[in-house]
Amino acid sequence: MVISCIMVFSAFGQQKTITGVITDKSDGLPVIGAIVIVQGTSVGTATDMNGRYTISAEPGKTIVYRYIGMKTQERVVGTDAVIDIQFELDDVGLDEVIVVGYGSAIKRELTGAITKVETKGIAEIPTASFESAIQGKTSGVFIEQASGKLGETVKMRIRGSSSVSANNQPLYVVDGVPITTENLSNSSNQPTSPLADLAMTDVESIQILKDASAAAIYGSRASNGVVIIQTKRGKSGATKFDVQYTTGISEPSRLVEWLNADQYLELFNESMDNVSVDGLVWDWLPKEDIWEIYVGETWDDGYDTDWQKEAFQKGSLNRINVSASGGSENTRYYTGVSYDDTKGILRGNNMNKMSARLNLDQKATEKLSFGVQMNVIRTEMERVENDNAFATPLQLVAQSPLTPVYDPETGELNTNTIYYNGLISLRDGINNQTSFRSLANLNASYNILKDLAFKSEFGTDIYDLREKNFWGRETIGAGPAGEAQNRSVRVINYNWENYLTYIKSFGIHHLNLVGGMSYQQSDMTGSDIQAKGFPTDDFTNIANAAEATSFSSWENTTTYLSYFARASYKINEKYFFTLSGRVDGSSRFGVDNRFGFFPAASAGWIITEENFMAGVKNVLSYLKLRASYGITGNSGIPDYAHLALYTGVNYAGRTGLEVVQLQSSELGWENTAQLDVGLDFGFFNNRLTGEFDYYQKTTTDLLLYRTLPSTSGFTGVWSNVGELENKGIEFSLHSNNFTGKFVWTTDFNMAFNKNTIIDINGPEITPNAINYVIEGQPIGVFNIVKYAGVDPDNGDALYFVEEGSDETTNNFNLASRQVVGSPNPDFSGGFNNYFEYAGFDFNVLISFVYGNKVYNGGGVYQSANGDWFDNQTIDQMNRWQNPGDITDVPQARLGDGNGTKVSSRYLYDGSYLRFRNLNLGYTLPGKLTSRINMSSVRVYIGVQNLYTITNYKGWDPEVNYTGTGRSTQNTNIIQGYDFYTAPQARTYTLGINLSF
Amino acid sequence: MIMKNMINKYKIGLLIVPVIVMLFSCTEKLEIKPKQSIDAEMALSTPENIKTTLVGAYLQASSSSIFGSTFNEYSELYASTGDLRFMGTYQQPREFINKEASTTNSYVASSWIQAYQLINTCNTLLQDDVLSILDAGDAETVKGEALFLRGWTIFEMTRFFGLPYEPGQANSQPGIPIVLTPTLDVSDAVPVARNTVAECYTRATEDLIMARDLLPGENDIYATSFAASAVLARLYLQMGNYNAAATEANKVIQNGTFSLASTPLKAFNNTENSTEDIFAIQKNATSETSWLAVMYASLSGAGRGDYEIQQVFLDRFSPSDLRGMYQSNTESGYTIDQITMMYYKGVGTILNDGGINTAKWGNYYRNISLIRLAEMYLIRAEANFENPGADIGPNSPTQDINLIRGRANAPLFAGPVTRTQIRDERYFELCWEGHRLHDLKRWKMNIGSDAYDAGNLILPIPFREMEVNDLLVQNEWYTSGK
Repeated sequence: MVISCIMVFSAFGQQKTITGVITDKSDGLPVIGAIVIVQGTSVGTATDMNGRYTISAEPGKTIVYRYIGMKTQERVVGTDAVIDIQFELDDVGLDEVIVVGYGSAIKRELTGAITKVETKGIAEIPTASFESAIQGKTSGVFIEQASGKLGETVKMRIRGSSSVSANNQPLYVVDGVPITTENLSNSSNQPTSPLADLAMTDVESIQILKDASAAAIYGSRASNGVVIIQTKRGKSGATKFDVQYTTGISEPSRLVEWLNADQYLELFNESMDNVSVDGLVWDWLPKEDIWEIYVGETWDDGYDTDWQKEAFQKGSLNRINVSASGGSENTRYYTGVSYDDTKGILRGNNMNKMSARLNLDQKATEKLSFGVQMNVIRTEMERVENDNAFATPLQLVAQSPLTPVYDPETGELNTNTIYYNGLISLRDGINNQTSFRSLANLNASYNILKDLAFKSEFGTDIYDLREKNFWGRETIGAGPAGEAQNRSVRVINYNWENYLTYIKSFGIHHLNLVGGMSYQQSDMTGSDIQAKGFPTDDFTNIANAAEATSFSSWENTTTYLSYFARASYKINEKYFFTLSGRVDGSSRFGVDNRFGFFPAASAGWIITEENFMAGVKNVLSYLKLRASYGITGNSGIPDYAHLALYTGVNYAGRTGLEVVQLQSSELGWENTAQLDVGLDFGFFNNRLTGEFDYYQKTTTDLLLYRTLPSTSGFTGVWSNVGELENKGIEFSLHSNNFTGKFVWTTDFNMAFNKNTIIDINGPEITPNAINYVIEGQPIGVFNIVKYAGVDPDNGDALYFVEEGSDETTNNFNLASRQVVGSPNPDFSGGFNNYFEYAGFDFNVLISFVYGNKVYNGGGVYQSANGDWFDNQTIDQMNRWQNPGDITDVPQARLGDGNGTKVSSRYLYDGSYLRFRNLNLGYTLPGKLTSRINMSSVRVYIGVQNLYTITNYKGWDPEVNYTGTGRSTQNTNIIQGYDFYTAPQARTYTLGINLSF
Repeated sequence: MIMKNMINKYKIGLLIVPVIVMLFSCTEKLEIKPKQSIDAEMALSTPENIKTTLVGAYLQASSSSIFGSTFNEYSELYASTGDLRFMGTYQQPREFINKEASTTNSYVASSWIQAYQLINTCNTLLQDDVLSILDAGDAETVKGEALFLRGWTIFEMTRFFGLPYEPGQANSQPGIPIVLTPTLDVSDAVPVARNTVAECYTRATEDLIMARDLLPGENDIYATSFAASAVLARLYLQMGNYNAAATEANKVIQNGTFSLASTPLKAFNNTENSTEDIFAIQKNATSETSWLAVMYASLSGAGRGDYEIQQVFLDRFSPSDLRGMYQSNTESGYTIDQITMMYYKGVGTILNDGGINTAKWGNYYRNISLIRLAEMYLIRAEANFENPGADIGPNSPTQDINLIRGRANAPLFAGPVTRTQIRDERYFELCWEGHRLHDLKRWKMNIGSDAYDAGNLILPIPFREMEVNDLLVQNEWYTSGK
């Protein structure tokens, strides 16, 4: 039976039978299922369980040996009847293995848009979360860190935002399990990322599925793309140990310049003079009294405090990873432990992470193999308050330079500051978050027939989060006896997948079928209790509190039931076709709309394999055209969104019921149809390779939280209305400029995405009256009054009356809003250069973003021409003073609001180019290392965020503060918004890697 | 050997088949019911749940966005011409005290949203098929309470969003949209136009009269017949219908079981309603933080001290008047329980300290008095004064005023009291309780340079609402600046 296929294709003529064994050079094990074909004919076979093959060919013909992940080899048929082949790994070429959903494929055979991210060296990058480590490395994947705080959610947009109200983050699949990624920490602070738990040293590969063909196998949650992460596996052979140690220091990557005491006095004296009548400020009190009331008695004591300095601490980083891997013929293992202790740049912001992993693969019989991947992680974070809280460190910049940090009389932290002195919270408060996570995946595969395998995977992701907050009695609002909060959330997410794989070659025809089902359930429970009244600040546990002030608990379940199938068919290694479909059911929708169908089709054609291209092959060595079209879904909305809900409420101890949601019984999937046309190319024997893609993504039946007239009693409802579109191009280039002793490679990628809201079937949507969703505009555009500068005659701030008109007014209410910019970049990308010579290697990664705007929400306080006593940015000294002055800073008038309304005055160009990562390493010569019984020794120094070129006036143009109590919709729409948001860290590192 | 392999093969195969069959039949796994909420049908299907939903309406009413705080703040900030200063940083209150609100002011949008959420809850409860689930007695009370909350909300909202009610005029100036049907499905959420001020007052009056007649005299902490009368008294006074105002106020004074607290300050910051409370928002440690205390107080654990009272105002009180006394010996760590006088030197740590703060709103988690008996005396006195000859109730205006002054240890008037004395007394007694703006408008008195009926002294229809509802017309000042 096994040999029947060979019989079918056995040819005639001067045939010679050739046999051989194909093995993997790295471990000497037989390679099963390697493709063996006679070039230019339709004769082909595959190796059996022992790596053995038999094929007939005419002498003089070339036999081609292929296997995914290995370098393709060719042999000319001569006199030998036995040809054994040793395959070598191919890491970066076109034969690189790409993990796709429910299987893997060779890069050259892909028909969809999938990017494999270069993971080499990411463990050396000193970022808290892996997304940050791959920033700028892949085209079409826009990654943005919200701030320089540790462990925060990182925004990742694959080919733009495909939804207005539903989730826009990609689906993350780790070792086959869709993991919990949404923020679960208290919404009164910035979101944290459960992804920060993953230890980067454990990561073997990261694949990003961008188009519908690639992602549709994940159906209902694939509209935002899919990120597939595989962790490391052992290889047969002796145990290999790897030890990595990195240490470093960090500081803010940029600072803002504030007024010193003299400038502050000058500006505010003038500001008061300008609103004085007969020497009385506001016709009320003399200046000295106002100084005393607002700034405090120390105002004329000669202090000159740099409050910005107080917000920061000297950051540090210590990270150690130890791993061991190896195995025998039947058992392979990888095990690693890592410890990461990071002290952030903001005072009181620290994080430490411990992780242990065991990956085990066992071949039980010829047919049955199973494996287990287990990972336990504990992450502890010391957090600071959200950006819009007086207690957050960076709001210290609002304090007057005339007030000292410490009270000169008591020596304690000064409480006579214009705003609450946030340092008190750092001294007397606790803001801890501890998460414990265990990821476990058990899988088994059984080869039912030679070509047919059954695979079952059961994965769990148990995430347990505890938050403990304590506010001492002297902290803001926590008098007279302190307050505390304990919050806990547990998410048990399990996933069971069963599928059959059928792989069969018929000569030049190759068929790969996958079909199966998946069930996922996610159970979340949580509780939150707050209490106040502690005997002293030494007691911080709720057990010691006098009374509870708030208590809450919740339980939610989400389930998905799915069936999927995919057929891949290739002919003669030249033409490739893939069809896939997934039917998904979700508990999030009403009975009638519960199931959705997500099909996709794609095709690829390697043009250079055609005979007519033979002439140009020495220049254009590789050219592939691919195209795909498919539909993916989105169900990233809250549970029970389709129901009319009443919830239990507490009216001062009396039980009440309150309606919280309007019924929307028709609610169903949001669909995204995506067309992708791509071109993969290689020049000069693939010295220069690249990819180019054009895509058009149209999302219909938007899961929109539609605004309602609130006279209805409701402000919005979840509906399937509206449409939006993303289209763009992206390309990447990889060039081996020099190979040999001196290696120089260059990678460049760039992506243009244009997002357009086509229809929202209702009024504009805005969560903050700054970022808007407007038909015909990209999501989150800044729709605010346009600032027209300063009237040279009187120093009044002027605003444009309406769009397209030059007419200005000093009456803010008469100026109408207009679209003044978009937070979405026109393009973004990265530029990487790698050099290697005589054991030294040097890598420099630059990432850039262009064309987006950033609104500084703190501007109305920070750069308000001395409108209030907040310390001002230095540019405010350039205020209007005398008739005829030409400036864009209005006259200083205390409390008058001259130019301090929300307007484009505080909108800045957010484009930047950042030296994201520089790394210089030295690998000791092999002779030397073997003398000390090492297989490899490498030392390196690096710097992250060395320098940023930008016109942005705030701390960091890579910024987003989405506010507290946020919804997914708010998170999607509020973009490019800065509010005392911390800059990213510049981190200098020194590290060593040992392998033995 | 071959045989054994075959068996092995089938064994595995036999395992796979049931696994797949089982998983294909777990569609019911998608049927997930919420665990901390119930659906609408269940909420309105039993007498117990209906009554519990009514409690939810009180919680909605207690929101800081409406009765809980901003109704008070709008009135006091707009009315202020120097007696109260805003010392804080928030843009929203600054706009009110400057009498230049913007249409995007988030306080205004929240008030509008919260008021209509409450009205929708009332409308939901007022459906015949909901009320029919209750027994007759409960149905009357639930209906009365829902009408009370709806009528009062319409009245307050009309005062803020519409130009002043002019006695004897048509009052065709726009008020607020009157919505009387519940939104049960998304199809019910339709745009509605503003009704006239006259229509709003009529609706509010009718609701409150029905409430007064349906409600019992005692009803735990919930609305009573007297509470409805008290709001009616307030409403009639605003309309210049002095006869009806005095009648309703008199009803509360004479027939109710209320009595003045022993000192003015004892009427505030209580954990349970005082004898003087006709209607109060209930608060305890688990309640939403009282925004009134956030803004007015400056104490340990309570308040930003943003609203500071000025010495010029305190100077207007007689030295013995408890309502104008100032406690200057406060220390850090003081809570409202250490405050013994009506005004104190702020000691809060959040923002402003050292200023003069009122003790009326000094704790985040104590009841908020919305209607006190003292107001009824003042209404009766003023209404009788303005409507000579009617002489409703046993007391003359002078006697009523002296009752209030006597409690405050202020020198009594020999009488007869003058209009100015009555009006000043109202200010002294009810200051910072949200009456001032409405009183000044009633008396047609200028606020600073603004005439009582100036367009900038009413709130804008929220920008959000204008965007979503084409039928709404914006208040003129916000479109023309006039």
